[in-house]
Amino acid sequence: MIQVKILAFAQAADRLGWREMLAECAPDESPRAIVERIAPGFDFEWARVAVDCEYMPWDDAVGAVAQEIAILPPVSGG
Amino acid sequence: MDTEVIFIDGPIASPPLGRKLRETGAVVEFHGIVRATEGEAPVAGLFYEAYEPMARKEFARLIADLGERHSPQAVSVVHRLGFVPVGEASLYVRVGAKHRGAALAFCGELVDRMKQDVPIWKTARMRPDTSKPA
Repeated sequence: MIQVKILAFAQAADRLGWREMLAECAPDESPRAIVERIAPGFDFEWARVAVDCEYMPWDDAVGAVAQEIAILPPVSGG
Repeated sequence: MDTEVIFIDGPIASPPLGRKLRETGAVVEFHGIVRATEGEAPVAGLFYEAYEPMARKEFARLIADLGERHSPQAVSVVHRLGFVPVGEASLYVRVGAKHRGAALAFCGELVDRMKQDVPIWKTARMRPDTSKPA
Protein backbone atom coordinates (compact mmCIF):
# COMPACT_ATOMS: atom_id res chain seq x y z
CA MET A 1 0.00 0.00 0.00
CA ILE A 2 1.03 3.59 -0.60
CA GLN A 3 -0.23 6.83 0.86
CA VAL A 4 -1.35 9.56 -1.53
CA LYS A 5 -2.54 13.12 -1.04
CA ILE A 6 -5.81 13.84 -2.81
CA LEU A 7 -6.45 17.45 -3.80
CA ALA A 8 -9.75 18.96 -4.93
CA PHE A 9 -9.88 22.36 -6.61
CA ALA A 10 -12.55 25.00 -7.20
CA GLN A 11 -15.99 23.49 -7.87
CA ALA A 12 -14.65 20.00 -7.11
CA ALA A 13 -13.82 21.15 -3.59
CA ASP A 14 -17.30 22.69 -3.30
CA ARG A 15 -18.97 19.43 -4.35
CA LEU A 16 -16.82 17.23 -2.15
CA GLY A 17 -16.68 19.50 0.89
CA TRP A 18 -12.93 19.20 1.27
CA ARG A 19 -9.80 20.41 -0.49
CA GLU A 20 -7.21 17.92 0.68
CA MET A 21 -7.19 14.47 2.17
CA LEU A 22 -4.81 11.57 2.63
CA ALA A 23 -5.71 8.09 1.43
CA GLU A 24 -4.08 4.70 1.30
CA CYS A 25 -4.25 2.73 -1.92
CA ALA A 26 -2.63 -0.07 -3.86
CA PRO A 27 -0.34 0.89 -6.76
CA ASP A 28 -2.61 -0.91 -9.21
CA GLU A 29 -5.69 1.01 -8.12
CA SER A 30 -7.08 3.71 -10.40
CA PRO A 31 -7.92 7.28 -9.36
CA ARG A 32 -11.57 6.40 -10.08
CA ALA A 33 -11.50 3.51 -7.56
CA ILE A 34 -9.75 5.60 -4.92
CA VAL A 35 -12.07 8.60 -5.24
CA GLU A 36 -15.16 6.38 -5.43
CA ARG A 37 -14.11 4.80 -2.13
CA ILE A 38 -13.83 8.15 -0.30
CA ALA A 39 -16.57 10.02 -2.18
CA PRO A 40 -19.21 7.54 -3.37
CA GLY A 41 -21.30 8.80 -6.27
CA PHE A 42 -18.81 11.43 -7.42
CA ASP A 43 -19.48 12.50 -11.03
CA PHE A 44 -16.33 11.45 -12.88
CA GLU A 45 -17.53 12.59 -16.30
CA TRP A 46 -17.49 16.20 -15.20
CA ALA A 47 -13.92 16.38 -13.91
CA ARG A 48 -10.43 15.40 -15.04
CA VAL A 49 -7.70 13.88 -12.91
CA ALA A 50 -3.96 14.40 -12.65
CA VAL A 51 -1.41 12.23 -10.90
CA ASP A 52 1.73 14.06 -9.81
CA CYS A 53 0.84 17.03 -12.04
CA GLU A 54 0.17 15.01 -15.21
CA TYR A 55 -3.28 14.49 -16.69
CA MET A 56 -4.19 10.80 -16.87
CA PRO A 57 -7.28 8.68 -17.53
CA TRP A 58 -9.47 7.97 -14.50
CA ASP A 59 -9.02 4.24 -15.01
CA ASP A 60 -5.22 3.95 -15.28
CA ALA A 61 -3.30 2.59 -12.30
CA VAL A 62 -1.75 5.30 -10.14
CA GLY A 63 1.53 3.37 -9.88
CA ALA A 64 3.91 2.72 -7.01
CA VAL A 65 5.49 6.17 -6.90
CA ALA A 66 2.34 8.30 -6.99
CA GLN A 67 2.24 10.99 -4.34
CA GLU A 68 -0.55 13.36 -5.34
CA ILE A 69 -3.90 12.91 -7.08
CA ALA A 70 -5.67 16.09 -8.13
CA ILE A 71 -9.36 16.33 -9.03
CA LEU A 72 -9.68 19.08 -11.62
CA PRO A 73 -12.94 20.72 -12.71
CA PRO A 74 -13.13 22.24 -16.20
CA VAL A 75 -10.48 24.95 -16.28
CA SER A 76 -11.39 28.62 -16.71
CA GLY A 77 -8.25 30.68 -16.39
CA GLY A 78 -7.45 33.84 -18.27
CA MET B 1 13.63 31.49 -26.46
CA ASP B 2 13.42 33.44 -23.18
CA THR B 3 10.35 32.45 -21.18
CA GLU B 4 8.88 33.39 -17.85
CA VAL B 5 5.65 32.35 -16.15
CA ILE B 6 4.65 34.29 -13.06
CA PHE B 7 1.73 33.93 -10.66
CA ILE B 8 1.02 36.91 -8.45
CA ASP B 9 -1.68 37.89 -5.97
CA GLY B 10 -1.70 41.61 -6.69
CA PRO B 11 -2.10 43.95 -9.67
CA ILE B 12 -0.15 42.99 -12.78
CA ALA B 13 2.63 45.29 -13.91
CA SER B 14 4.21 44.58 -17.28
CA PRO B 15 7.59 42.97 -16.59
CA PRO B 16 10.59 44.82 -18.05
CA LEU B 17 11.89 43.66 -21.38
CA GLY B 18 14.89 41.55 -20.45
CA ARG B 19 16.85 41.83 -23.64
CA LYS B 20 17.74 44.24 -26.36
CA LEU B 21 15.38 43.99 -29.29
CA ARG B 22 17.86 44.22 -32.13
CA GLU B 23 16.44 41.16 -33.91
CA THR B 24 12.86 41.47 -32.65
CA GLY B 25 10.46 42.92 -35.19
CA ALA B 26 7.24 42.61 -33.21
CA VAL B 27 6.16 42.62 -29.58
CA VAL B 28 2.54 41.68 -28.92
CA GLU B 29 0.93 42.32 -25.54
CA PHE B 30 -2.37 40.86 -24.35
CA HIS B 31 -4.22 42.00 -21.23
CA GLY B 32 -7.15 39.87 -20.11
CA ILE B 33 -9.47 42.18 -18.15
CA VAL B 34 -12.25 41.26 -15.73
CA ARG B 35 -15.61 42.41 -17.12
CA ALA B 36 -18.42 43.95 -15.04
CA THR B 37 -20.78 41.07 -15.82
CA GLU B 38 -20.39 37.32 -15.81
CA GLY B 39 -23.13 35.93 -18.00
CA GLU B 40 -26.03 38.24 -17.11
CA ALA B 41 -24.99 38.88 -13.53
CA PRO B 42 -23.17 42.00 -12.38
CA VAL B 43 -20.04 41.08 -10.48
CA ALA B 44 -17.55 42.81 -8.22
CA GLY B 45 -14.75 40.73 -9.66
CA LEU B 46 -13.48 37.22 -10.17
CA PHE B 47 -11.61 34.98 -7.76
CA TYR B 48 -8.86 32.88 -9.34
CA GLU B 49 -7.19 29.78 -7.97
CA ALA B 50 -4.59 27.52 -9.56
CA TYR B 51 -2.97 24.17 -9.06
CA GLU B 52 0.25 26.07 -9.36
CA PRO B 53 2.93 23.39 -9.85
CA MET B 54 0.87 21.72 -12.55
CA ALA B 55 -0.10 25.05 -14.10
CA ARG B 56 3.60 25.90 -14.47
CA LYS B 57 4.22 22.53 -16.13
CA GLU B 58 1.30 22.95 -18.50
CA PHE B 59 2.36 26.48 -19.44
CA ALA B 60 5.90 25.22 -20.09
CA ARG B 61 4.60 22.40 -22.27
CA LEU B 62 2.29 24.74 -24.15
CA ILE B 63 4.98 27.37 -24.72
CA ALA B 64 7.42 24.72 -25.95
CA ASP B 65 4.82 23.22 -28.28
CA LEU B 66 3.77 26.56 -29.78
CA GLY B 67 7.39 27.65 -29.88
CA GLU B 68 8.24 24.86 -32.31
CA ARG B 69 5.72 26.25 -34.79
CA HIS B 70 6.10 29.99 -34.32
CA SER B 71 9.68 30.43 -33.03
CA PRO B 72 9.15 33.41 -30.73
CA GLN B 73 12.18 34.99 -29.12
CA ALA B 74 10.64 35.84 -25.76
CA VAL B 75 7.43 34.92 -23.95
CA SER B 76 6.15 36.34 -20.66
CA VAL B 77 2.99 35.11 -18.98
CA VAL B 78 1.68 36.65 -15.78
CA HIS B 79 -1.53 35.30 -14.21
CA ARG B 80 -3.06 36.93 -11.19
CA LEU B 81 -4.54 34.74 -8.42
CA GLY B 82 -6.99 35.58 -5.67
CA PHE B 83 -9.59 38.33 -6.07
CA VAL B 84 -9.34 40.46 -9.21
CA PRO B 85 -11.71 43.48 -9.28
CA VAL B 86 -13.67 44.49 -12.37
CA GLY B 87 -11.53 46.51 -14.75
CA GLU B 88 -8.21 44.99 -13.67
CA ALA B 89 -6.14 42.43 -15.54
CA SER B 90 -6.17 38.78 -14.58
CA LEU B 91 -3.81 37.74 -17.37
CA TYR B 92 -0.92 39.37 -19.18
CA VAL B 93 0.93 37.80 -22.11
CA ARG B 94 3.80 39.37 -24.04
CA VAL B 95 5.37 37.71 -27.06
CA GLY B 96 8.39 38.99 -28.93
CA ALA B 97 9.24 37.54 -32.33
CA LYS B 98 11.12 38.41 -35.46
CA HIS B 99 7.88 38.99 -37.39
CA ARG B 100 4.40 40.12 -36.33
CA GLY B 101 2.62 37.06 -37.74
CA ALA B 102 4.46 34.72 -35.41
CA ALA B 103 3.97 36.95 -32.37
CA LEU B 104 0.24 37.43 -33.03
CA ALA B 105 -0.35 33.75 -33.74
CA PHE B 106 1.61 32.58 -30.72
CA CYS B 107 -0.22 34.96 -28.39
CA GLY B 108 -3.67 34.01 -29.67
CA GLU B 109 -3.03 30.28 -29.58
CA LEU B 110 -1.47 30.45 -26.13
CA VAL B 111 -4.54 32.14 -24.67
CA ASP B 112 -6.91 29.72 -26.47
CA ARG B 113 -5.06 26.62 -25.37
CA MET B 114 -4.43 27.69 -21.79
CA LYS B 115 -8.21 27.75 -21.43
CA GLN B 116 -8.27 24.04 -22.28
CA ASP B 117 -5.49 22.55 -20.19
CA VAL B 118 -3.86 24.89 -17.68
CA PRO B 119 -5.39 24.19 -14.24
CA ILE B 120 -6.62 27.63 -13.25
CA TRP B 121 -10.20 28.37 -12.22
CA LYS B 122 -12.28 31.48 -11.72
CA THR B 123 -15.35 32.05 -9.58
CA ALA B 124 -17.53 35.15 -9.83
CA ARG B 125 -17.82 37.33 -6.76
CA MET B 126 -21.05 39.28 -6.56
CA ARG B 127 -21.45 42.99 -6.07
CA PRO B 128 -22.77 43.74 -2.57
CA ASP B 129 -25.94 45.36 -3.97
CA THR B 130 -27.22 42.28 -5.80
CA SER B 131 -28.59 39.01 -4.52
CA LYS B 132 -28.00 37.02 -7.69
CA PRO B 133 -25.83 33.97 -7.13
CA ALA B 134 -22.17 33.98 -8.10
